[in-house]
Amino acid sequence: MADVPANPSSSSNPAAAAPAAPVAPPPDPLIAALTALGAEALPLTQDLLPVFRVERDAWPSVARALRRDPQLSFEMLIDVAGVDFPKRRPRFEVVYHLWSLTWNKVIRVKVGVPEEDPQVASVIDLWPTADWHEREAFDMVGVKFAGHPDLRRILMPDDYPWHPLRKDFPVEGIDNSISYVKAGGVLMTRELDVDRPAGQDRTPVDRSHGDPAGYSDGTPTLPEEGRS
Amino acid sequence: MSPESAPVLPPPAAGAASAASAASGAPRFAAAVANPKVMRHALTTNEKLFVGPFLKSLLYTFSRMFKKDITRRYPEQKMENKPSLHGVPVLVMKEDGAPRCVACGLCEFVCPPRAIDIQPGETDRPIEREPKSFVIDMLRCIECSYCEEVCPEEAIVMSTDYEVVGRRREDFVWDLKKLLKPIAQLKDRIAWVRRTYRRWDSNADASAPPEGGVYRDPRWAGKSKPVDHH
Amino acid sequence: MSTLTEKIVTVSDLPPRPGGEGGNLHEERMELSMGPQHPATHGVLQCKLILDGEKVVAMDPVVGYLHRGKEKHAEHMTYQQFFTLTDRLDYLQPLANEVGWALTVEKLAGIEVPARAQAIRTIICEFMRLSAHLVWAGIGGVDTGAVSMFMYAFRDREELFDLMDELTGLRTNQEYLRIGGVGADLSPELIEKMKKWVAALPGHVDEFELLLTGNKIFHDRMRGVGQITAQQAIELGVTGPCLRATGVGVDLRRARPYLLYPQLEFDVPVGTRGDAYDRYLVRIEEMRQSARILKQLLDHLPAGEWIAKDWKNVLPPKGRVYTSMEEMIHQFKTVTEWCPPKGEVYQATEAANGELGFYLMSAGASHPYRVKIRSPSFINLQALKPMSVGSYFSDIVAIIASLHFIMGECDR
Repeated sequence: MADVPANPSSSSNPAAAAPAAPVAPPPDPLIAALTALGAEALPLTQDLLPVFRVERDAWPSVARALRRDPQLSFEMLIDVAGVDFPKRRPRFEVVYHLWSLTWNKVIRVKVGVPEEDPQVASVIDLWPTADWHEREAFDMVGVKFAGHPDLRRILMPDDYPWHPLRKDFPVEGIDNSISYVKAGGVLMTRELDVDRPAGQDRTPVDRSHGDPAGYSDGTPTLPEEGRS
Repeated sequence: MSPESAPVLPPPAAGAASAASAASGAPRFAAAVANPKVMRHALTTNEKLFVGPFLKSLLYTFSRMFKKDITRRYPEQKMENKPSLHGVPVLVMKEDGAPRCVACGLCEFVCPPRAIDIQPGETDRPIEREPKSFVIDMLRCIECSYCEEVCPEEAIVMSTDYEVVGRRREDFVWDLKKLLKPIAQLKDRIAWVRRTYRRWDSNADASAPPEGGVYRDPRWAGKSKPVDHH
Repeated sequence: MSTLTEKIVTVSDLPPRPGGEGGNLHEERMELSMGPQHPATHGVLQCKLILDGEKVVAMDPVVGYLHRGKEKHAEHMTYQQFFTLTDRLDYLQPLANEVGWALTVEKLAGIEVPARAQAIRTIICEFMRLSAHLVWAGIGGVDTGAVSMFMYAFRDREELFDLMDELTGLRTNQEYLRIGGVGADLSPELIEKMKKWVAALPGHVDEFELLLTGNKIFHDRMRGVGQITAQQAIELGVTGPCLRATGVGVDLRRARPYLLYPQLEFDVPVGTRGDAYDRYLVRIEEMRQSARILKQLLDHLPAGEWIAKDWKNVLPPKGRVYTSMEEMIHQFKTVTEWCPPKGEVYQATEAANGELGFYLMSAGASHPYRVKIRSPSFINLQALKPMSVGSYFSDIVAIIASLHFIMGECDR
């Protein structure tokens, strides 16, 4: 991780960038500063953003440093995404994208959240925009944000019992009388496995396909006929 | 459009820390452009008096009355049919009345709203396979033309028919009888498809099938292909 | 900051007013639900308001009425099929959403897009910005009492859609983008038509300004309404014209450039006070700048291919599919089993309302593992609360009009 290329988007247009802008720090201090705080630098992905994994307990202090440290100064929280990996431990991952307007730099921070205690510290006091982001992540994946003053569902109805972006939630919904199998949805049931090498994800179609584990609403499982 | 004042960031509230701790120069953010165009905010004296601009805009509105209409009087005046137009998808019927379709199911796979349903069957014709039933639900169809793009037989194309009406839901579920259109009606679109999806390869359709005919490999010329299902 | 993070206030939480419970009507606070079926909330947004007379004491925007589960659907669709859903995010600028998704997937798969395709994409991005801003100008005019503005804005938009129709075959929700390029080439006749339309546009924008900018009624209606500071806007994650109206010249086309924007000349307009009038001014100027960009691109459209010459990632030429077994197999494999490598990509584009980002996580399969859409409308809508609290009830309509969120994009 020593020679991390700079974010191409931040440097590819020097003409348009402010000539009197503060001197951008080389990427190394960023990684060094975050590693000192307890973040683990992960390999770069295709978009070449610096990626860090932060332990759940260290996340509040790392977030505070990211926001308040003038050398880091990530003013804008772009995005918070909850991701479900049913076969990994910890099961959930909360992915933050942060943008430093001062240095024009984007980083990605991942915080793992176990299934048994799906809680992570809220960052709403550092970035007020996290309010709706965190409500959405709670709504969709079921990760709770400790310290959020008003953690309600935002997109789904308030009394909705499930978290639809979990991988065990069927795409046709649970309380739905229309079987998507009849709508030609056989191809949609292909299971994806993020932990397997590429190209080997074509596991057999799960024909049981009932309620997700842990949910019991009394809905009968989908009929078998109609599948080829 | 002279700038009224330079864009000065308001000083951050005490306690809300970090933005203040950065340099206090004018272009504070590296992400911001150096020389933005500052918009004038205040009204001129003339505009404050209201009467002048008011009469001017009133005059403008009146002057529009004598301009040509740009709207179309729709049911009487139809849209101009360009070959790029995406109407509803239809199946190509060859001169002998048979569909070109071989029921490969690629359009059924690619259809994003899953509007297509194909039941394949066998036939004694040289193509060996044909659709027993081919149904498109026009209420689901979004006319994206993906089916046309992926079809390996040039058998499903977008027509110029964009007026799909009916009284019941069943009227919108089109079967083979309704979908098959003579190839002569679809010549423009087929030519457009060939030209467009030739892509980067100008030699691609040197050996494309002749208009209206099934492609026969020149190596098989004169020989009849045996058809034996048993 | 405090107005945002505190819990939503209900009538019972507020301190008692003189007059007591059930007291004088003039001293009571009133709970009012604006929407979801309200013509001024631009779709299905519900605003729960608590009013003290005409003053807004507390507000809670309720979203989600248009939630269609696009992110869940994306996990069960191929990469090409998902274009049809991105169209329906911000339905005023369908092609700009498609460009965002195409750039994301291409970055993941490492596909080189030819220069002409990039230029066409830049052109349609700017056309879509104009399409969204024209609707905004028309509807914003209607919301603030200038009804004839609607007609003039939609006149231009109608002609724009005719151009898009000729290019893509559909007037809206075009499904025009392909992975590796675009769906069809831009013909020379169409370029001439586009040039003509673009040349006429600045004059039409002047006409809009004649009707609105100098109009004292409009000015009084918008000025000082829904004001936020740059500090607030950044903390709330507001992007796009709403952020630029506060004086921060942050534009993704310059800050994190994509497509051909680094080679183009255009100005980034900024406001001075961050109120509704500034948001109006910034958008009006952006329309002129878009016309300027379009002129540069249409005059110097690079020659070449409009889709990548990439036999493994792009559908093969049609004529070869008809005749060659190899290409037939390619056709089937590309449609059904096109698998980009494993990885993660965040790609943002400057849509008409702000930063439209796609966070794509791929497991190396033919379907995405996770797609997160960072929709600018959803984030910008958070600013509605700090903008409205303390203002008059009638100002909310002007604030909503100037914020210009699209509920299809907000709720996904």
